[in-house]
Amino acid sequence: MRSTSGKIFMRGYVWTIASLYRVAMVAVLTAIVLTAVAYYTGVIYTGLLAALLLFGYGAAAYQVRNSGMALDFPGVDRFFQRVPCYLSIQDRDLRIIRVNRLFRQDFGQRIGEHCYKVYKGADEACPDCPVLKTFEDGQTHTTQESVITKDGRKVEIIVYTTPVKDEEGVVMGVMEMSTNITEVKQLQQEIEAKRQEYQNLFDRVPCYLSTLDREFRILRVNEQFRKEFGGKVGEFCHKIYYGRDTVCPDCHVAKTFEDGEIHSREKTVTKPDGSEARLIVYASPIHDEKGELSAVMEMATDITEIKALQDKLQETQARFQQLFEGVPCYISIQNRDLKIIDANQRFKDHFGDRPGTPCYEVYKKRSTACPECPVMMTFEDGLIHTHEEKVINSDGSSTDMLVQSSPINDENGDCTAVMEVSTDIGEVKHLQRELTYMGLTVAVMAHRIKNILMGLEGGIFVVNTGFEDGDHDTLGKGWKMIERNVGRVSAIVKDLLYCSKERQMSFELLDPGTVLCNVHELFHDRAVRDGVDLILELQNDLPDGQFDRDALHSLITNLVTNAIDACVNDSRENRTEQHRVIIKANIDHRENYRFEVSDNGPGIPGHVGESVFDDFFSTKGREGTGLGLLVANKVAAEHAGTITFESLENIGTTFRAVIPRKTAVDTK
Amino acid sequence: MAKKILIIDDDDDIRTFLETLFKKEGYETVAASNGVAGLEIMKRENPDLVTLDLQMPQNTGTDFYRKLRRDDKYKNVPIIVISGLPGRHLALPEPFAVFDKPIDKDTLIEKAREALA
Repeated sequence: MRSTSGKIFMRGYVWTIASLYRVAMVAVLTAIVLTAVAYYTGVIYTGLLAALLLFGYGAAAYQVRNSGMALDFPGVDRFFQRVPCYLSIQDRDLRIIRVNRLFRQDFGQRIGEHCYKVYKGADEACPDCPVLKTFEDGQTHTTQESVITKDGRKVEIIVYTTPVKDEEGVVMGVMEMSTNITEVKQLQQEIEAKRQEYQNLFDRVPCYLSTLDREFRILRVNEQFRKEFGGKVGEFCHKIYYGRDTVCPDCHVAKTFEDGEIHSREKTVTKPDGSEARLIVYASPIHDEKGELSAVMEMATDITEIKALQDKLQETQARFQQLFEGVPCYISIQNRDLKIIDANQRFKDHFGDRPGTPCYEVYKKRSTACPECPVMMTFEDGLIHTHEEKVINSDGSSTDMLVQSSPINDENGDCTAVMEVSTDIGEVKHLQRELTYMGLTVAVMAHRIKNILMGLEGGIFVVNTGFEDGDHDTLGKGWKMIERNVGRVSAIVKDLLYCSKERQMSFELLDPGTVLCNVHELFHDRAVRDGVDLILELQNDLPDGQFDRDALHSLITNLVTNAIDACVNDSRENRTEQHRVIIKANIDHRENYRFEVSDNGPGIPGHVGESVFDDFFSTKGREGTGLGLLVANKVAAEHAGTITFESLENIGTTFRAVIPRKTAVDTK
Repeated sequence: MAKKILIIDDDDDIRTFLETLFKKEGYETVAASNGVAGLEIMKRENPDLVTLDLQMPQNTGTDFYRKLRRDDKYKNVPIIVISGLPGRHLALPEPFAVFDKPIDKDTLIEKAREALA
């Protein structure tokens, strides 16, 4: 096509059957191909291909016009102008002889200019110029180019060239159709970047990733997998993980292939270096573009260390639990409301399983917190506190406990709970008391023996003086002194023997009231002489029980002696009440015998705990041996009972022996 | 006129012994079974010497000692402590002499003479 060929297009146009037929064929073909392409290749390339086909259609139409029939063919020209590509026609000198609207819009009219100048601002033809090639071989050529629009934008284009021939088939010009694929290119680059990103993710994710086919062959693995198990694409997963030749039983990958769901399991595998690894494995389905399950991705996380830590934690927890349950102490954990939130078995067995109950209610049957509560102190200062407490058992008896409260802190170091560890020190306290009694007894005994010795020496001196003076009265007085002090020695020896030896008890069924009556009779005269009213109050229907008569007699005697001594030694000047000692016996609400001896003497001032015994022992009775309480205590213990006392200053003192009726009956 | 000795002890036999002992030596004696009674006799009889047992009910031996030492009239009256519990007297300021039971009667007489000289 030459520059004069423009005139060709200006000629008139006459429709022929043949030309209409060719145009119609191209249109039909276009429709079919567009539909097919749209269906198979998706949207991105549809526009491009549509343009190509339109280009073919345009080229055909152009040929129609070119064949001497095309000058006044407004439809073709409209079509040429509206094609959504850059359309231009070049002559053999590569000069542009016609452009469409889009070309004009982005590159200008530029008719008569060289295409390389227009597209690239170049002064000579591009290497591998597709227009020149089409001129040479009359074929369609394609290439990709980067061109610059008139406003300086760089545009990526895909260029198709097709020959424009005359009726004899001579190539008169080349139509160049360039499609802007800048956005497509960008999309391609973005897709590539994404693909790369996913690839990196796949490779670098810190777990073993592999994809498997239906035969359990490895399709693809990530770097981590390759590093630990080798890049064994094509191998069976069961071979890699277990060295097995057959599929593992209960294979989770097989399950995913069966139901298309995600399955997981823990498994121990052997690495190529022979070490074992504990893995948690997820198998998830991979679907192809048709939505069919084509592969399974297996993601395995190495939990060997976690598992080891978990095992260790469990072991530690088990040990702790064992310790918590097995330790010979009562352990409870209290919150800030002093409510028990946990306890060991020993505690539950002893105090009952009562979560949510305040500790003071459980330990002491109190309705309010104890004074100087060690748990509250620990909550306040976060330190360990130790107290000796007397707790009340479920049967109402009491036990001495050593209570330690220690804080339980959260990860921030805040005390959220307090652990109370109580150790039964009843036996220790009992021994401690025994030792205290013993120590005091020895001291009192020494004092008494010294008095006795001095009394004996004095007696001898008085007897001698009586002899020397021939004074029978003095002689008799001295002899009485000797007799009295020898009697004291005898009593001490008896009491000592009672306390130090395991005496064979002689239980018999008797009315304990008769024993109390005897003691009352025995001391009546002495009490009257000392200005003390001795009163006996017996329950009417006091039942018979198993007692050692002599031992019970000794117990009551010692308590009565102490009580009378307390009255006799009362030096209160403002005292108005007549001294009295009351001996009582009854059965309490727990079916125990309760023997009480009360006096209205001065009481024991400010007594606390065992300190009373100090005062008690320091008070020398006139008749007692100083071992009275020990003897009474021993007798009570031999009858499975206890001795307690209450004393109020200026009110008096009550000693109480409680002996279980059942034990007394059962003891043979 | 014979010197008078107040004997305070809650043990009847010891009181009898000491009274016999001092009377034999020519002294006059008065006796009390506790510190409270002892103070009353002290005021009534004005003794020249006191023998005092410390270990008596209600700690009245010790009370007696302190009260006597605080009283200007009696604070110079010598006191001989006769105790069954060694060390008890350590809490008391300046007793004239201290005897641990059982006593050596000759030494006691000697100390009494010294106190009454």
